[in-house]
Amino acid sequence: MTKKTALILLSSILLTLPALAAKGLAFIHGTGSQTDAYNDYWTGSFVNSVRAGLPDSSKYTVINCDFDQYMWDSRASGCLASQLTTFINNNGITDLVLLTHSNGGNVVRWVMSNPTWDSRYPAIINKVSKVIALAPSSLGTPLADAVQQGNVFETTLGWILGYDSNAVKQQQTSWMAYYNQNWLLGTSGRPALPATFKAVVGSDVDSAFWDGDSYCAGYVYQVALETTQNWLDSCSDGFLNCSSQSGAGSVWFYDTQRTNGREPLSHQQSRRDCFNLDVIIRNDI
Amino acid sequence: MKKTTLALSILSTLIAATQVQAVSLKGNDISGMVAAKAVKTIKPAAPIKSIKPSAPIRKIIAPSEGDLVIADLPDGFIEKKAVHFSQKISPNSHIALQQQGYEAVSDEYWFEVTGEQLNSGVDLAITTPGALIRLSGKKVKGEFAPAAIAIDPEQIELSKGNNTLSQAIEQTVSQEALATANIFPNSSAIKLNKAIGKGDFKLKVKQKLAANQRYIVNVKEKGSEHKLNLALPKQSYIQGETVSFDAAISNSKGALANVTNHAYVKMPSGEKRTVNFTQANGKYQVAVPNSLLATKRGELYELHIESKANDNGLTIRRNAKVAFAVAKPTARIQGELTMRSSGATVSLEVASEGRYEVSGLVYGTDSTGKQVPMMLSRSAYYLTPGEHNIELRFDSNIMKSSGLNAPYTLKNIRLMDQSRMALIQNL
Repeated sequence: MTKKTALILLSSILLTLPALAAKGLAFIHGTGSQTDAYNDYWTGSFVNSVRAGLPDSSKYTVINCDFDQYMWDSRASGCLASQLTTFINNNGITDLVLLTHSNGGNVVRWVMSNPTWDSRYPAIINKVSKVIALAPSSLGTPLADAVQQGNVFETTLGWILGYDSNAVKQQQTSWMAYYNQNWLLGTSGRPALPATFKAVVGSDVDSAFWDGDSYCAGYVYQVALETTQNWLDSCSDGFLNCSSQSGAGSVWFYDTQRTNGREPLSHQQSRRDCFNLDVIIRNDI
Repeated sequence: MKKTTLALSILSTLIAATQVQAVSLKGNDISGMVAAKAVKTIKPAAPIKSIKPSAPIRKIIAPSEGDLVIADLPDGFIEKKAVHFSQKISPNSHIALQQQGYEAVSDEYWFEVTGEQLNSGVDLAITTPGALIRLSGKKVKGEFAPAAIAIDPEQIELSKGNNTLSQAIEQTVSQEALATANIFPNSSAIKLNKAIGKGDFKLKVKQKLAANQRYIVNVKEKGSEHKLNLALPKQSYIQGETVSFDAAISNSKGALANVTNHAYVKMPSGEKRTVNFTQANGKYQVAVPNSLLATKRGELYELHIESKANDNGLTIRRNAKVAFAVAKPTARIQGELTMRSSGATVSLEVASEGRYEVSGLVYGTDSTGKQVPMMLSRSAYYLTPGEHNIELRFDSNIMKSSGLNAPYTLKNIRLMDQSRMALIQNL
């Protein structure tokens, strides 16, 4: 075989190989305005454990946006699009995995469901290979309805409020039903999202002073959980019903199916390295 | 390489925009309304000539002439570039083409009181032993210090008739403890002792409260047989359209008679507007009031019902709410809709400057002759007032790879005003 022939063969082989995918991972927080989500929302131990599953563990980003706003607000989805676009362009990302928690799943669904809203969205959507949605509030929560009771605007006094967050207002159950039907994809009866959206569902809350597991990711008073449970189903993570968490896309797993010791994941625990959750995700990305 | 050609069909539809009430603008499936006919090998992207459909021309329901309104652009980011996007849809998808309704089921009620009223005592109607009562302080004009206005649950007493009950409360939850759940920052709660049963009680706070401080008293009776069902047949309306709803309080045996209902609409601005409702054909109907206050885009109206009934001497109180949207008809699809392999030409009449998206589900025909979905396509443009012919672009690669054949049909055509976040037409 001549050198020339070998070169032609080699170049043919190279040309037929797919371009090497540059996989990236974005951590997308839930309700709240974050400026240091790495420390304040996820913690370094969770982020660093999960990103170790990337071919190049440096290709990750932790999103910091104002998710106290409605998902369509430029401070929410617009900020997310801006940070994802910068991450994709700076790192040559061709395969993007999004890891969301709680209402972060709704903001991501907003972007993926409304590709024509913002000219930056299609390029992001086309890079997303999957969304791992930790305890997404896809159908809202009755607790958001309860906390909004009596919130009204009076011309003489202004707003009378118990809780002032547009994101919480948005996550009221009948509000989310409207948004799901008209502005979001992936729920029952609606077209599917353009990429996989798979949920990890928290199904229960362990909170007892004699149980060390209860302290993973902090402690919520048992009486507080018993109180909030009055608005929730028997299957819930203390903030969201399982039906809401599984309301969009597909269910990847219910917590006790995969966690160490078959421990349930409360709403706070599903964003921390509790009960091997970080390793399960690391092995999937 | 063999050139692939697409067998095309046409959707050549006359859209009659005459004398059709906006109230009729709801979930109509265009697939049954338009004529679809296979056309022999026509080059992709070539426009279909004006071929009249063999099937009868049907009407697409649209607002009547003069219905369009001129509305200001809201604050916030509005994209100006035209954007097109198509995505593959699984042929096995079960997509609802009509607007879906929503039903709220309530086992709770709430009402507002002042600190002075709580110090004097307020009436409670309890239908289930072991009810939860949550007391929530309200912020007024930026003055908000949850701890300062919190009610100490140890300072709550219950009475029945003239008797103060000594063992009425099974559990107390302080504001500090409840705040750890990260959702109720300014509430405290008590759980009633099941032994005190049900009936009419009086709740009194012994702690001295600021006379004008506002509180919400929320009685939550999980597991109660008494429920208020409030249902709307859909959640998207056009301005001026009447909202119909069902509301009923029931026990385990069925709906209760002699229920009194008080209704109000909470506007997107937060204003509370009492509304009168009429009853027709077994359904209640309300006219949604107009708001003069500015609102943020995407915020919803809420229909609230406060109901009261009597079940064999037991007072039942329940509140429920359902959110809905009211869109201003700022534009409409009109004229002829023509479909090619590359997309559909849509004629728009635009009254208000803004960004509009036209979307549709493209269906193809499988080997058994069944129409199945294959693609969701949308195109959005920033448009000024006037008449525009815009292109709803398709992705020919998705069409080719679908394995589906002509005739193709376009269903679930939607016109969205993205700048005001409103669904204007759903055909």
